Amino acid sequence: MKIEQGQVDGDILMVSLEGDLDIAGSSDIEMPLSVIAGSQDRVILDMRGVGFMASIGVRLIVSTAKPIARRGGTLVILGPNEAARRVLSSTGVDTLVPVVEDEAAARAAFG
Amino acid sequence: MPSAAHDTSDATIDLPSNLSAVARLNDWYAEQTEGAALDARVLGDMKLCLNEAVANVVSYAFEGIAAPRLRVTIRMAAEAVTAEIRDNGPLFDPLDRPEAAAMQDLETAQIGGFGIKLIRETASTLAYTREGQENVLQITCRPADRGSATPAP
Repeated sequence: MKIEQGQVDGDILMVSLEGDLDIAGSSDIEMPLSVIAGSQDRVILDMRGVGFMASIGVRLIVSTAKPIARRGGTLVILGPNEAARRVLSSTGVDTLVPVVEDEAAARAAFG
Repeated sequence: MPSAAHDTSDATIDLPSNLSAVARLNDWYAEQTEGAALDARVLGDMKLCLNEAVANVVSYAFEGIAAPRLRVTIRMAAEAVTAEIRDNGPLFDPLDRPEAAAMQDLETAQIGGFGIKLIRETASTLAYTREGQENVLQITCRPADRGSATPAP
């Protein structure tokens, strides 16, 4: 799984994922996401390039979002496909982390 | 699926008894389903069920098992894909487990236990049997009745 990072609007970090968020994919991005979780307060997790997500992906999203939220920051999930959205909904993650469809909505989620 | 042992549409793989099984599974599943006439959503549903079921087996089933065995068979038909996951771990009926509750808040979120819930909510039919020393889980995904394996509340 590929992971790319770039600044948006100055202080927002856009983290773009590409590939499958299965066990192997989660292992690939666990370390960079951990660094982001420890250092960034405004993060968009761009899932538009994620074709598949298993529950291991939910684990990763929650473990990333939790330290950010503790510092008063926000992680926003952008553009999961229909199958990934169902996984987010089934586990309840979509009630804890904002899930949006486009970049404008992602930026707006930071208030 | 012993009754269909000679069905050429069956494909079987023996997987390792550790988490590398899931990557092997996914590579194999991609090969088997390439060009399949089935709806991509149904194939994705089965991929999710298989990922969760196999991850559960290799994470929990083989402690203390001297010669672990894990075999997955899939069969693709015109309107459905069926899978059988067979392991020689101790008796474990995943359908007899209490369902994980959805997370309520980020701070106290219990991360885990969602695999079986996702399988129930995705599969059309699910069946568990204990055959000799083996657990056998059969999963079917059809376009028309996704999630109908979810037990009534």
